[in-house]
Amino acid sequence: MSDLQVVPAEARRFQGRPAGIVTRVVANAIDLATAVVVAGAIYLAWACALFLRHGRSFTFPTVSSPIAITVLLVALAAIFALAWATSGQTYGDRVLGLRVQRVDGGPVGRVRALVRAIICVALPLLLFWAAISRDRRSVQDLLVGTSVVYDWGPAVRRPSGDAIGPGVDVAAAITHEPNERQPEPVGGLDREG
Amino acid sequence: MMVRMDNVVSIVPDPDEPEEAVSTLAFRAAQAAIGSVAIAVGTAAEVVRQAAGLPEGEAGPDKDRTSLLAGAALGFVTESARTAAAFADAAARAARPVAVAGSAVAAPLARIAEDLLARWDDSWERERPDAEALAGSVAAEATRRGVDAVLDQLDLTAIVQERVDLDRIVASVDIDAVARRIDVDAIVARMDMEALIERIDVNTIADRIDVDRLLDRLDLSALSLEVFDRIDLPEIIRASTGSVASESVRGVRIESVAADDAIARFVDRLLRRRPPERGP
Repeated sequence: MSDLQVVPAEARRFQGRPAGIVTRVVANAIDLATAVVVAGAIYLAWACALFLRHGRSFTFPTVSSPIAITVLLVALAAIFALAWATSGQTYGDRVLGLRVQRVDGGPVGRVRALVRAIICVALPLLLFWAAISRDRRSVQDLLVGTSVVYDWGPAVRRPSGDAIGPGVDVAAAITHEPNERQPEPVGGLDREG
Repeated sequence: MMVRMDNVVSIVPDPDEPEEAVSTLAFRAAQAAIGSVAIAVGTAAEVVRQAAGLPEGEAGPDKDRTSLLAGAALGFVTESARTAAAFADAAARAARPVAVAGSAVAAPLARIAEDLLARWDDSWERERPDAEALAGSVAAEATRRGVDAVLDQLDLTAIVQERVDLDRIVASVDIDAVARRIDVDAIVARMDMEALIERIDVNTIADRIDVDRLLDRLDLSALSLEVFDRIDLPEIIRASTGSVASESVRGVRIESVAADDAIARFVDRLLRRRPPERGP
């Protein structure tokens, strides 16, 4: 079955390439919404517990906004860390067809995923460096050595090194460091004018 | 009329007689001819009698008289032949000395004889068609009876089995040509196919088929891969499960990628740097 193509024909050309800022922001927005839902679920679960304990005298608990925001961010970080450590895809990534992977194409790993999740939640604006970076890598990516690529393939991660679409050498595409002034390929000239 | 073969006169001359006269030979020839005619007449009379439907046992005075007259005629002819032979003999002996001198007398006699012969010939020519037709029917009947008599004595089947190499004959037969001449469609049209089909137990036939062995001969995985290769499987899956949601997601993804590239181009232009190699 490895010979089967499950990616639509029109999307095959950019499979495995670094993802741009718009896609990543949309994916993160979906993840934030997911975190809000999770936080709400936590609140409801807490309320249910209180109802079971107090019975008729139950009233919905009031939550101060710092605690709410903290719970939300913790939930978000947990979602990030769990998703990246396992499949490399959060729910938002799944919807948008993204995958977080190591620069060399391998799986992210637990520690790297946890560190990246914490940084992403604490300093989300660092994501926008991806818009400026030539390799489309955010500051978090640069710090933990990861990259976000387009991957419309099946959710199950394939063996390491073959994690991305067929025929695309991601490692070669990402090895440039963003600040290096390398001679530009001639092929880009026609887009200049 | 039956011919008695045991009292047939030998036509071979008697070796004891040193020199047989010409008249004797001529008489014997005439005798043989008359006998043959008598046999033929007897056979013909029998055939005519059977054709007319007269029973064999019917023997009236007329028949006796006919037999008597026939025998008398034959005897007369025989005697005439004997006399003629004697005369011919005597004439042959006497002719030698007077042959030269008698030529003047012989000429008118010869003319008279020729006239007589011509009259007899005319008479024969008139009788000839009837006589020939009768003779033909006599010959046909005689042949048929003879062949029947011979075949009654023979076991043809045994003879064929014993003497004929049937294999060689069959080998020389062009069976294909025979088969080509057979109208199979007509035979099939005469058959009751429904009755034939009812007699066939399809389940029994199916039980006899070794399906596993059949499947072993197929490379199913290669076959299925080839099939998958020929068809656009993702498109089919999309079409079959194609909900509005998945179509929307696909649209959102495509749009996002396009927006990514647009932003990247904008940033590149803003920073006055050349866009990287990657596509649009």
